[in-house]
Amino acid sequence: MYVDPRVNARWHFPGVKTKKSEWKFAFAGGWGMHTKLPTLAQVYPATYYVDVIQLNYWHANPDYRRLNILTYTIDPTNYDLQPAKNRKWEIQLSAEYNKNDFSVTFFNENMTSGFRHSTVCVPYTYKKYDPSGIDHVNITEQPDLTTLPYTPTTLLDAYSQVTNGSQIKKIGVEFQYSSPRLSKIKTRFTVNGAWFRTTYVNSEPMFNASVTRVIDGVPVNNLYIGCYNWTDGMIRERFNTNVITDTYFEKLGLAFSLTFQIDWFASQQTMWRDGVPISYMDNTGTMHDYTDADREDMYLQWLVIEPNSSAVYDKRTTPFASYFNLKVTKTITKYVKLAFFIDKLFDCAPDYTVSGVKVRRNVSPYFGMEINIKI
Amino acid sequence: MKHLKSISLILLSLLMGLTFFSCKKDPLVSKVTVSCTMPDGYSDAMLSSIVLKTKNVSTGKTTSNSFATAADNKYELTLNEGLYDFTLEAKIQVELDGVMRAVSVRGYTESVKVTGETCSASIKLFIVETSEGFVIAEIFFTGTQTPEGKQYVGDTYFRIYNNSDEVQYADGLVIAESDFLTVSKYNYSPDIMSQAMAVSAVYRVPGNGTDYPVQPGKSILICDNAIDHRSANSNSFDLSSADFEWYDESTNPNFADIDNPAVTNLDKIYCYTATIWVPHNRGFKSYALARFKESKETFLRDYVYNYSYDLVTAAGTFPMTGDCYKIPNEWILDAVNLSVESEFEWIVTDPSLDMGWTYCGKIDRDQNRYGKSVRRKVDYTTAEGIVKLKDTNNSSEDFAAEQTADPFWFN
Repeated sequence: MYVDPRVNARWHFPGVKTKKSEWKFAFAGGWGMHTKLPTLAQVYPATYYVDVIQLNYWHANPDYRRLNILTYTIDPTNYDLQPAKNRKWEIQLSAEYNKNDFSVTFFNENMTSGFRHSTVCVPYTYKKYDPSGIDHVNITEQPDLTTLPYTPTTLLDAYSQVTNGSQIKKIGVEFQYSSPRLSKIKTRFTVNGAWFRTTYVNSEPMFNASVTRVIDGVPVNNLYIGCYNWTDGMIRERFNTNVITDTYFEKLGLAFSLTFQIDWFASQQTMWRDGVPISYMDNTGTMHDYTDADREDMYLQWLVIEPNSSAVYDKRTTPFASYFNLKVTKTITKYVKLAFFIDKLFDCAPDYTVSGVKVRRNVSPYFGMEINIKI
Repeated sequence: MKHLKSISLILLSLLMGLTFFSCKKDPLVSKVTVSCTMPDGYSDAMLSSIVLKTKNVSTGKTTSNSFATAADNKYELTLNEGLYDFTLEAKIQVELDGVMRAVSVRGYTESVKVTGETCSASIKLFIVETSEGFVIAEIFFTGTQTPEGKQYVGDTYFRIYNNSDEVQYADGLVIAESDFLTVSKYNYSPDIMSQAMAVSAVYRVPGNGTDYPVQPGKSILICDNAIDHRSANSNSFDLSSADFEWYDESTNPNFADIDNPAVTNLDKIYCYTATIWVPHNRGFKSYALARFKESKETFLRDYVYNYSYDLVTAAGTFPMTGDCYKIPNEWILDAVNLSVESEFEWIVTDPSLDMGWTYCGKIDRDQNRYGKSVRRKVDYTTAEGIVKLKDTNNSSEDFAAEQTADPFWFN
């Protein structure tokens, strides 16, 4: 059983009277926890098999060929996996004057135990059979594994396991204003919007077994796998505002809703990663610190993983764009409402430049009808 | 009125004449001054028997121009405007063992923009050293197609030929694949091409120095899988009698290669991939034959090449980095650039190793390339009946392109 407590408090200040109406202010705050349970596939992952060729003996006569593979069965279940806990607090300031409502909310969410597929490195021992002593010409049957000489050998391999290794941090400001319905033009105005920043990072150092190089006949990652204290992370940010007017003609049973949707910007940036490992595991499973001297070693120098392009760390920003949407709803009877809408009827999406190339944004209007029947 | 009509007719015909005249405009020509830099250590030498060849990159038109010796080593010629490759071949007098001898020199510069009334190009000359030892006689990189039309791999090979008059030993011969592609040219920094070749796969013939003698006029066959491929693909050949094979040993069943125990394996020194290595089957990479002058360990430790370049794409320009190994040019015995005519952008070796390129297939993914190889041309046959292969360090001239692959072409 998991408890998700939540506390909210609201403080109403004494009103400030004016000739026309009265200003009302309030301050609210909240704190809460939310438990996110792992999915079924995260709790019961599929069994992982490691196949290792011990002997790959080829002969011109297919009857004498022999392939021997040792299979390790790995249960990648993380029995220590905990539900992810998200903590959130928020404060809100609100004001009301003559049926005009205004509020600003600042929120902060932090989940330090989010789910992540982490690399687990394990050394596997196997028998490396040596078929070089076989008399290939006079052989009369498949090589006999019981008499074939072998060298006990270890190799490293990696699989992924779900851990609580992710951190997701969100902060943001939301605001809203709504006017009373102005009787002369039968219209109400609403303005709302938000600014968010979300940071996704790992909360622990991680192994990375993506080195494909083969040095002196041996894949580097079969001997060594590096552990990197890098932030495998990303920052996303966006700011948008909507201006909505809705006009309702009761006699005609017609409602017009016009929305200006403004995306001030949206950006995304991958966090810089230090490709130099802090430590590495060798094929006996022992961890070593990665030193400057290791950068001169013919195998260990390849554990430094640099991205192909530093451009992956560039901040990508999509600048201002604005759209205009229209929706008309007709109340036909008490039970039936018919609506016609056009999204992006007008737009303003200026060209912008990324890495020296102009990006043109083509916006396609989108329209449709909907019918609501109430029984 | 009639008068007016005839005037207008005259005017009209004049106008037409003008129009025709302007259509028949001559192409713009440019006077090009080609200046030569002498090979290092021979700055005072005088050129003789000078032949300057031009190739218009866009039209493919070539010219060959002979010149008399010029004191300032500058040669002028008139060309239509365009993009040109220049090759200069000449002789210089060099003192060797106290005797003056004529030695061939050559230089090459590519993609020179010829525009304007006058323009210039410069060519760095180098001494042409005709190889006395092993040369790459044939590269079969395309693979074959099965009778069902499927791509078949595993039967590619390199044939190495003893082009000298003496017994040569194959022990320690290195086969390397270029890291760069001949179909995408970037300004790699640092630019090491004049000193070394960037390589992404390096295999070496084992041996103690005299284990694998090769007689003059004989070749050795180094192949992917030394097996009888005909049982799996009737369009392939029997390579079970090959001298060497490269075996990509792996513990991963997904990358299980075939190792014929009866045929010696090459030592796998370096490869960029942990899967099975095959030569680039569309012919975008170049190959070199070399001999290490350092130990394998020193090479693997100290000969890493880290480079950077700007990747220019339709989506923008991106700073890129890469790493591979480098083999110094003086270790290289022979190099062959491969490319495809429709895609060719540059050669990825120093011109002193190979200033041309050869091919199988005229367009990218040419279906006609399967079963074809590039084979070195015969230069002459000696009085003893030993065939000498042409080796002027220019694959465009030395190789016959798109030959039907035959791993046992005369030995």
